[in-house]
Amino acid sequence: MYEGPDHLNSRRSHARHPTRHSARRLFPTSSNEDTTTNALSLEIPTAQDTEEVGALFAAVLLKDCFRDGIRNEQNFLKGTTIFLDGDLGAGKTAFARGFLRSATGDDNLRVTSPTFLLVNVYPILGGSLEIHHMDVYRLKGDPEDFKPLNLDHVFAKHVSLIEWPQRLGSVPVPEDRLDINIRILSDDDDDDATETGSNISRMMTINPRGPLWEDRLKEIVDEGYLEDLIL
Amino acid sequence: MRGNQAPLLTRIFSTDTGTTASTSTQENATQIVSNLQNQTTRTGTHDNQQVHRNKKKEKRFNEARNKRRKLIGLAKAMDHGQPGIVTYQLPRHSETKDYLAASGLPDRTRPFTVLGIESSCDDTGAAVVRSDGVILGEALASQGDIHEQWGGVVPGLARDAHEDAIDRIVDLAVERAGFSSIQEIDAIGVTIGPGLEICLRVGATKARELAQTFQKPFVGVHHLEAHILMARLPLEEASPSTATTNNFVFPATDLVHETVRTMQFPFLALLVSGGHCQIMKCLDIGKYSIIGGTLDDSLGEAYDKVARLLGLPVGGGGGPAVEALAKQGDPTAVPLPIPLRNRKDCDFSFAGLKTAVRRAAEKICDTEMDGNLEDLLTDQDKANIAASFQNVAIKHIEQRLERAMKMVEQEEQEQGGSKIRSLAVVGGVAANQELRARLETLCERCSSSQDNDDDEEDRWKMFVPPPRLCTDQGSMSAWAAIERIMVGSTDDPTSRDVYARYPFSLEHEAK
Repeated sequence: MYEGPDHLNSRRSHARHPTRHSARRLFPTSSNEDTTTNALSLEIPTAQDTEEVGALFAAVLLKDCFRDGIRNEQNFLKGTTIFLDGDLGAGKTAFARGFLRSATGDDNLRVTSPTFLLVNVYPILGGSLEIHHMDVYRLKGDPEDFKPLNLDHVFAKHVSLIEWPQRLGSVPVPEDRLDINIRILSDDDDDDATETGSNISRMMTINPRGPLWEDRLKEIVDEGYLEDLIL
Repeated sequence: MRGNQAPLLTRIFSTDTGTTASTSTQENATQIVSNLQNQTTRTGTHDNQQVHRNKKKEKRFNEARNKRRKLIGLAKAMDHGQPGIVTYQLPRHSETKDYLAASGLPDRTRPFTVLGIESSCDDTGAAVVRSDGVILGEALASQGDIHEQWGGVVPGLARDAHEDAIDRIVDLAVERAGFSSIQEIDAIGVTIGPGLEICLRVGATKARELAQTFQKPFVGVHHLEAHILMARLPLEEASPSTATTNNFVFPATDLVHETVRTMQFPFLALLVSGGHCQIMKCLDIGKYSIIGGTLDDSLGEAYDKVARLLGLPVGGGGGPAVEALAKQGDPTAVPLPIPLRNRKDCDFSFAGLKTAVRRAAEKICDTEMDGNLEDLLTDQDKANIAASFQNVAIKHIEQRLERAMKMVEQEEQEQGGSKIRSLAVVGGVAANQELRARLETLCERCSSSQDNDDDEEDRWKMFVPPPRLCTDQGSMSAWAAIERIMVGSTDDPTSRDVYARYPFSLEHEAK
């Protein structure tokens, strides 16, 4: 189980650059959720970078499993929940792809958004832990619709990446989670029909919910992993 | 160099060339001007300090990037306890190197029949097919209406639906084939992967039970191979399913199987479906290597997304609805980028195109409102979008395929080996008429661009199953089982494995 912030303090570098804190901004997200005061905004130039951010989060989670030399993935990772909000083509699946390739160690893992199937399940750790990549766009928020997804069980025992979380409606969701919103930064003057969208910047707003994720995110920023992308 | 500015934002750029630009356009302009003015002086001016600060920033950014990548690399190198992926290859005798017939073989000197079952996704199918390609009887329970309200497949519901339907569908297929019992059928085949695991199990369990109860040779079929091999189904020779008057039946000997075949190994195959978009070199039964695959979405998924965007029905896949609507639209009305134009390989990508379609749709509506485009677009707009999307998606396929075909021609010139001039187009999206027509034209174009285009042997020939045989159904499993049996390969029905992921072994080795 996650042990709380104290042990992090002892490992973290104390050389803190003053601009790191001021680089965080409150930024209005396009979702209806309130932005927490610990929200982090990143500007992401390419789809490749979006994948890399996803991979980073998985890597950080995995790294922390080995704390104190004890391998503890199953207990540590279960219950991890990440919401991915953003328009069609914003990069939700790109993030998930990076995360999943990092978590499974398979660089060539084929990851597509589970539009048709609602959920794609990726077993790791010999199958004892599963990563559920869901796209609930087509569900209308009626808790009945979600029964086949077995969300209670997944939220408690496995890892979930959920696209279009606003469709979850009144379904109970974990309070401790990471909310990510991705927006395409479009320029009205950009009439270039040769742009496929993969070279247009994204704005990624990362909202940690609960102390667990707040501390994780703070550590990620303090360690400097995202400095080149922080807005 | 990106020079765009969004209002109200503070942006920090970093391009690959290592230059940085700072905040607002005004500052930028002033800086450039004064940089120019001070260029020759090189004193410790404010501007040089700015350049120096930018260099330090750039260094920090590079460090951040490297640190991030290092951590990701470490994580990937860890032992992840990944469950082993089983690859598909036909087991052989250790000594003779013949294929292993683990559950024996039916008498192959006369036509034999196979019951094929398919439950890899959301359709429950069964069919009895004769070894010369005649589909004797078939049945299909499509779950389209079950999933329509969800706009797509729900695995748990799909499994329940398979369980409800499987017995009924199998009995129906057998009955329609004119048999009173499975005892009269010679062998049994079923899809064991890839697909949805819980759905695969329903069909696989049923088929294995039957094989053991009736002591029949059993084949665990690879779903993608089954799609590919449908292009070899000798329909034109003898099959009531095409409603031809020619019902001549060839006896099923090895010799005759070769003459009955319309397409020989080796050949190229384009597999396009909801779950796959690949170009494969097909060398023999059980031997396939992947020349190109999709980096993100499959063609079927791209169609689904566009259908969703336009508010079209998506039960059973959005492709047919988009294709139908496209007929009423102008394929050049909406400019869209062709994916991967500058990439010199045979891979596909549809994610960027999907984004471009959405942005183009928003532009037409002159708004950035999301979610309600389907209400704001006129019917003609939607038709134009559908037609333009389809046009560009198919163009993308044409470009990748043409490269693959040229590659194959070149390999033969340089390395010798068998000539490949056959192209199989298979999978659910192969039912799309526009795709079929355009690819036929592509084959003609590739044929006439070769040096000796008069030589019949050098002309590219396209083989595509009739539309209704491109989608998932029992006859796929049955025919693939027949092909396996003809090379002497069958499986052990007491095994209980199904494989959600089931890569070809050559592909795996190549990595």
